[in-house]
Amino acid sequence: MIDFVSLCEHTMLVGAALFTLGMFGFMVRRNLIVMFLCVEMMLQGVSLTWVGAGAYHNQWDGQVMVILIIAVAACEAGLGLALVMMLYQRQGSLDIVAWQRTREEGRPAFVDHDIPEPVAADDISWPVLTPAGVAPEINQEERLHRSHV
Amino acid sequence: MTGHLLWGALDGSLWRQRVTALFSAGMDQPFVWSVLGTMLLIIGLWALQPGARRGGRIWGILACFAGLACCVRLLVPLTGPLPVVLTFRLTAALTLMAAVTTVVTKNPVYSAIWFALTLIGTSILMLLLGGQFVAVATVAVYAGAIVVTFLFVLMLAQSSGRAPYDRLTWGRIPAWWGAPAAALLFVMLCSGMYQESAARRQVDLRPDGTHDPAMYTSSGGTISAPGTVAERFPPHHVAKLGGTLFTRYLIPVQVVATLLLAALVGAVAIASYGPTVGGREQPL
Repeated sequence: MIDFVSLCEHTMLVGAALFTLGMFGFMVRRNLIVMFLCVEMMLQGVSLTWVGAGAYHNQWDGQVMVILIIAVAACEAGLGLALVMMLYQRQGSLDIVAWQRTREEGRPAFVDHDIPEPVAADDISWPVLTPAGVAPEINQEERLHRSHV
Repeated sequence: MTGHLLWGALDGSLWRQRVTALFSAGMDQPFVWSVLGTMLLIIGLWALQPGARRGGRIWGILACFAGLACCVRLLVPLTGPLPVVLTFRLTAALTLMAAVTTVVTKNPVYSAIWFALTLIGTSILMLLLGGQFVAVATVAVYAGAIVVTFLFVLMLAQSSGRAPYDRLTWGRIPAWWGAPAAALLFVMLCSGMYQESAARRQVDLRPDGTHDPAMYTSSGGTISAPGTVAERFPPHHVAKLGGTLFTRYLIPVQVVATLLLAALVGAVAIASYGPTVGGREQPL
């Protein structure tokens, strides 16, 4: 028989670690989408802690809270990703620093100092596919009817 | 009780006590473990953050896990049959590994995929604690819907190649203070749990390795009796979860339902274009 209380405590430790990692990522990363993922990770850590605490006290409330958290996370993801899309369309970049002109008046602008040089491994080379087989016959009538395809 | 750890470390007199204790024979074990864990976590997270030296990632992960092991020493060790303990440990390690990779990996697509793995690990941990419904809901809603939405947005918004901002952190505060803040927060949470479990540590174990539920109470006054999952959560317990959800938590459920509707309308309003008049987009 496993020591259930210890299991709850260790699970809560994992939850705390997830929350902390999410916070760290939110502070350190600059990609809007990754920052958003980090917030989701913080929520996940809280959920794990709720389940652990609920099992610890032998109550259902923890799991009920997790269900509510999942619903709120779904709302947040929908709204947040719509916002991210809009920000990307305005700025053409997912970099959070691109939005620094919304900063407080009088604050100095942030300037990147040590931009890493592109390394050879970063040049993505797409595979070249050799054409094979017979080219399919194109139905002209269908093309006329479905010009938007 | 000497379990105040970092809160106590901020207090001058306690600090002096601990320094003297460090050099005397009776070393204050939890204090030493927590300080060591903090140091290792700070070093590890520093090595892991985006602007760090190339090739430091493996050392960063090793240092982070060593720090985590130091923090685990603060709790009552997990006892039980080996398969269960091993399952828990492996799942926890997998979850945390995937979480670390989510945060540090340079390609956001891989980030989202590692996050899906984190979610699966989390749901296994929930399953171990008897949360069957929430485990399934996590996989279905999070990994099935939210992560897929993330991947869709990445597909629509990803710049070609690797962006330089994925390999940089910004400003002095995140670069220098992010890792210490995260490490201190984690050790603080651990020390909170240590205080809870220190009470149990005092209690002698029964011969079969379990605790006597009559011997301790947690701070909330609820006695948490040990037992297997099947004992604690009898059959039909998902029905009981539903019962709690729709009786005691009926109003929160209604509020969340309204919130979902509002978020739906809001997302449509944000994402869709209004009619264009004279080349300018009009608000909806």
